Amino acid sequence: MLFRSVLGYTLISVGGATLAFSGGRYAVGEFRQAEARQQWDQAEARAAVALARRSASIDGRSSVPIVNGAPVARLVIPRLHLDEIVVEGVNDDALNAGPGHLPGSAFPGESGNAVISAHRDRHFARLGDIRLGDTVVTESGAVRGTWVVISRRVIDAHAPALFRTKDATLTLTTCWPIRYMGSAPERLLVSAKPVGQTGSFASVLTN
Amino acid sequence: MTNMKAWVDSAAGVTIPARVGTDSSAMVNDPGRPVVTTFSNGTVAPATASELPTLAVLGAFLLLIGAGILVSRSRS
Repeated sequence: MLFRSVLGYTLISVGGATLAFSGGRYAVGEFRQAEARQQWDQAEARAAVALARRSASIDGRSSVPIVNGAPVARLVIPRLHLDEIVVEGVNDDALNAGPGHLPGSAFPGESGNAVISAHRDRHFARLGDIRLGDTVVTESGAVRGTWVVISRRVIDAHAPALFRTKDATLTLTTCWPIRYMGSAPERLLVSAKPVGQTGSFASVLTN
Repeated sequence: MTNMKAWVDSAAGVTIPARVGTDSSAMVNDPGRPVVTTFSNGTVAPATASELPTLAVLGAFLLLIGAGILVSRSRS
């Protein structure tokens, strides 16, 4: 009888702690995303990104490093009702706050491959529904770009997936399958090409 | 010799981009799989697998089992 009581209370304690931990992480993520959105809505965040990009365009590499977790872009996929603020970095904390821009990859709108990754149970939960031809809109610094999805593929998690490109490319990645318990064995890769752009580096440089 | 890759890269004249964040060669809980924190040509996709859904389900399951045991004990 005593054993069952101890076992019952132990399971409730461990289960409650586990639930509280996961719930807490979700809550912190929501808070960080709201915080990033607020920062993005303020002019300072856009100015910081524009400054870093201007530096990158002048000497080929950024001399103004953007810290992990800082908002760097806005990502909108209208058909999926996805509207997220992208933060710098793909570590645990960054991905908990929002889709993460892979450091070293291009920013959306620059020439090169801009890589944005997010959790399948969070910010990219609807990415599995994306179709070829869907429109993606990005806003980064002074550049607002419109992209069209040109490929959607699933690859092994350990397979080489990301490559440098000369032309502007937007790559979105998340784990696959979307509905999967445990560590997902595959990755969903969505590639998009630009179809329109307003604002430019030129406008940033002259400002 | 430690940091062999950096030595080989420097000898070959390869420019290593400035890194923001943790070392990209650090390991995660999946042995043998490097944590991707910076972009490089041919790299794997970042590890976006989250254990939170599994933890949430496991926590709820344990909670229910524990509650079930206590209820059954009080009835008997």
